[in-house]
Parts: sequence; structure tokens; C-alpha cells
Amino acid sequence: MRLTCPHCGPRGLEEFSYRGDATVRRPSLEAPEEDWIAYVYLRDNPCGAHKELWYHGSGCRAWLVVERNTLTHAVHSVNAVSVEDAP
Amino acid sequence: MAEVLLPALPVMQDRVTVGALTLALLPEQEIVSVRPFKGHFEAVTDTVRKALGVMLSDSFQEETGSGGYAAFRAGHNQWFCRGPEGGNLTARLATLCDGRASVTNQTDSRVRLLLSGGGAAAIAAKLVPVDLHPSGFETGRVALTLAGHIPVVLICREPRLHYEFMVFRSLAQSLFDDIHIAMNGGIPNSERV
Ligand SMILES: [Zn+2]
Repeated sequence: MRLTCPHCGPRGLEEFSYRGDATVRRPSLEAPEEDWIAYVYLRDNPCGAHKELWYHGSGCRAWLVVERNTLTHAVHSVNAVSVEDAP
Repeated sequence: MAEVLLPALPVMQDRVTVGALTLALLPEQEIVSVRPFKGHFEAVTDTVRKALGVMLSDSFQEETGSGGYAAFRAGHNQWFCRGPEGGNLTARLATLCDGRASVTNQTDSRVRLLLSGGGAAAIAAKLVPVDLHPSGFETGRVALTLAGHIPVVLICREPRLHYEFMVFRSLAQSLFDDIHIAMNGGIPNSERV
């Protein structure tokens, strides 16, 4: 698999680390315990379109949001994380 | 407690030759990191262009201007500008950017090595996971990557023949040794375990 880093161009998978699901959002401090347990421990395992965090540790050292399809392995977009991506 | 003294290291070699290949330490340059603050990218680009004749480009190419000045993107919203030593580049850019960018001198942080000669691309390719074929890695192309375990900025000076490595000063000797081992047909890192 190759990811096209917005800062570095197309690079091999060995330069990146997978850093988790990019869709999870931190609950409010007042949220019930179940929401916090879900936030910390529970992850979906989608078959199809997904958004993931990747870290380009061997290149520009930026965190990236990768939109890809876990079924077809097609990579749709790779962007630097933005404020909106904060958990 | 007994005083612990580190053994004195020999001064780093500045040039080795193996057959047609040469690895040489390049002269010091003034290297400056420029990171425009939010909303000031255009103004900072304009300032750098007027001062050095180079754009802060989003491409993977190093931009070269007159007087030996150049700039390349060194990551997210970060550019490395460089020029001749003693040109007071950091102070000049800091004054011109006037608080619209973070301007940091990086001269002491990096050393530059140049690998030259027929087969240089093949030697460089032993160390970096980047495709160095001239169709993609042409003159001026920059790659932030790893040479073995050492973070480097690799810059193509001339496809197949000249490759510049910009490396952290504290890792320069290790990189020099690794490239030297590769030049001798060895496998870098294999003898360190
Ligand atoms: Zn990158």
C-alpha cells in the first residue's frame, strides 16, 4: 500500500504508522460513563469507506487523515489533520 | 563519584573515495526554518521572494534564487531557506517577516553530505525507501525520509550522479559511515548489532 502524503508525495507504507480511527470524538465531561467507555475502548470495524489517522514518522512527521476503503483498499484522500479532526 | 570522561572522537573525515564514487562533507551554509503564522502565508511568501528570489512552494522541488539562496518545504507549513554562511540570513528574515512567521536558525542543527559519481543513485537507494528513478526524482527534488534509521533530507543535485543529504549534526558521522559502507558494497547497519 502507498499513501500520497500531502507534504511528501507517494510513499511506501513502511514510512507510516496507523494511529487509529479518525471518526471518534471525545464526549463532554458530563457525558455518562457508557459514552466514555465507548470512546476509550470501543471501535467499529467497518467494511467499506473509513477515515483513519496515520502518522508519517519516517517523512514529514505530520499526522494525516486518510479516507480509504477497507474492502477495496482504494485510498480516496490523504490530508493533514485540521482543527476539525481533533478528537 | 569517579569522573566519567568520554573518549575523544577523531575529527570527522571530510571526504572518502571508492572507485568512481565520492562522499564529501559540503561547506557550511546558513539554514533557517520559516513557519508562517496563520493568515500570514501570502505576506511571508512575498517577503521571502523579495529578499531571496525564491517562492515558498508547496511542490517537492527546491526553489533556487540568485546569490546562492534556496528554499524547500520541510514539512507542514514549514520551509527551510538557505544561503551562504555569513549572510546574516536569519536576522534579515526575522526583521522582514516582522512577527508574521516563526524564524529559527537551524545552521548548527544540520550537516550536508554530497554523494557523487557514477552509480550514486544505486548507493543512495540502498539507504532510502524513496524511488530515485530520474523520471520522478529529478534535479532539485526533495525528500524528507530515513536513510537506514537516520532522518535525512535527500535532495537530487543531478539524477544518477549527485545526491545531497542534509542530516542532524549529531548523526552526521553515522550517516557518513553508513554511506561509506554502502559505497564499499556492504550493508549499512549490519555490523552494528
Ligand atoms: Zn509526509
